[in-house]
Amino acid sequence: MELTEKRKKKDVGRTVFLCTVLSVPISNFLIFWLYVNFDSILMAFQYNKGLEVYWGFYNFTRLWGDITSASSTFWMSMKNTMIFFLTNLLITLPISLLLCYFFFKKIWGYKAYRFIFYIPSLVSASIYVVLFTYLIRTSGPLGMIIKSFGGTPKALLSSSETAFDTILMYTILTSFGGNIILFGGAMNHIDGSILEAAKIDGCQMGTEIFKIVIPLIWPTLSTLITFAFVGMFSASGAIMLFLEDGAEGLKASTLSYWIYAQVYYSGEYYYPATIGILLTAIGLPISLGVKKFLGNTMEAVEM
Amino acid sequence: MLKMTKKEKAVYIAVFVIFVLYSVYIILPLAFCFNGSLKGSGAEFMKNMVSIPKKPKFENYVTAINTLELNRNTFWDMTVNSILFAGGTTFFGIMSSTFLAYAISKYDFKIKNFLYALALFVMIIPIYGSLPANYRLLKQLNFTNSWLYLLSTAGGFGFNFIVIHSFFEGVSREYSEAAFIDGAGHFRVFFQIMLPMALPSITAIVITAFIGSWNDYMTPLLYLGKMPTLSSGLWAYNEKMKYTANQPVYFAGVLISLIPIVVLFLAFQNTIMQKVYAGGLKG
Repeated sequence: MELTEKRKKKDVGRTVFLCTVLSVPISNFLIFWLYVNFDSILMAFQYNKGLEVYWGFYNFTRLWGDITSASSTFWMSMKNTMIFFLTNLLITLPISLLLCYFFFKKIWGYKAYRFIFYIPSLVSASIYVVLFTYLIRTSGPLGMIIKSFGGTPKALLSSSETAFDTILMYTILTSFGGNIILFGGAMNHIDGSILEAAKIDGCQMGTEIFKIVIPLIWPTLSTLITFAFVGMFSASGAIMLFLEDGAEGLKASTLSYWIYAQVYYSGEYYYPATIGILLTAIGLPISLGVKKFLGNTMEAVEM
Repeated sequence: MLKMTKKEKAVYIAVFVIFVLYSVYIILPLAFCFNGSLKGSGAEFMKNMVSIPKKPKFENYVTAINTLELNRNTFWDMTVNSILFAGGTTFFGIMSSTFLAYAISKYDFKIKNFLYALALFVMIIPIYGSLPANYRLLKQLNFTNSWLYLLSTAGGFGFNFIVIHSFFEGVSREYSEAAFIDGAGHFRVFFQIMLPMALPSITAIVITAFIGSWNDYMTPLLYLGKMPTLSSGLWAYNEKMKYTANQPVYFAGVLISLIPIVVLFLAFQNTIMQKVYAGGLKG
């Protein structure tokens, strides 16, 4: 009898505990994920004229108009987004991996470099970009160097020919920080004796990287590749900080900046939601396909 | 340690030179900022941005703390806002993930597998364009320009959940079973036994999440426009005062704003480098 009472009390305690700890993430998920995304779908079918809100396919017609117009902001933003996505996948990720390989091999001063290379992730982009824009001004250090060689400095961010390339270059050169942490963490767990043994067997640097290190940290690498595809249409640089509201005029807009700017500057909700639905419809099969192709590595996260 | 071949030595020297050049590129903006912060006035700075000031004006640092202001928010207000924003989003986010991860890994209940699958699903599904709906909801709830906004950041699913879950999976149930036999309750076992064991791993996630939130400028600009953080506020200040700003004072403010985050990173650098890695290892 006493045992049954104790068990009942224990079960109640267990239920109270589970309800308490699960209530926070589940209620947050229901409100700020499920409801928000459901509302986002509904918003795609809403539009306003003046203060009145109407239901219909107006946003889709408008989007179709943008898609079929070669010179629209949609295509310009899509093109720029794809450039950011591909540079992340094909340039930033491989370079980050190489940087970490040399840290792992304890290149001279590797501890200092590891910290220095992480600085762009440590300093807010809103600060770093401002400093960078001073550096590349015609009256700034870059301009002074060009003048000293007899050249004429250009205002790189004011010209539609150079604005996007300048932002892209800045983004590539300041994007290694996060990857350094993840690749570095993975490489730190590689057993040094494996590499020593390979070296004794005459293993060269290239073989070591491609046949030992990459296969060993493949779960980390494939997770980062999967994440890159999941966030494919969110790929962007700090467009807003560089150009504020002049991005479209300077042909430097990206999809995520375009959506953000419509909400932040224009208070427009409905059309960006429609763009989001289209992008999700395209991105979903791609993400699932990449995850299936690369394997279920994310479940194997370790600390 | 085996000797390097000549070819390998050449590669290392080339890489070393590239690392030095890249380091210069990274440090240059900060050195430029420090040099600029010591100039006498905005006019002196604009006259020649790179010259070294003859009489370094260190008072600019005090002036920055006392005078930098955005929409009646002082430098101190922005600092407090940064601490609340970064601390709050980190606390609520990690707390929620930890609760969920612990419950799923250490308890058997009906929707356990469903919740785990949902966490993976949420992480892999690319959702675009939910920003307007989220903004509208937060506005309707009066969560914008209010610290109630932090409640919306208590999302337990996602990358942090996966990392913390894997940690708890690796901890034997024997610890909690022994405590239960000794009469400890479920809350006590979680807060006094399991959570302290997870702290080293959670600390690494907390620090990286804190740094990310401290540097986030788009979220505070959109949702907390009247309560600027250092990250959003200093940028907005620079935009507002573009043509009249006292750059040396602004640069001094920028450098002061970096101190807490750099100190935090340096203090936990090794923990972060060793504890954070996604996907595990093969073999």
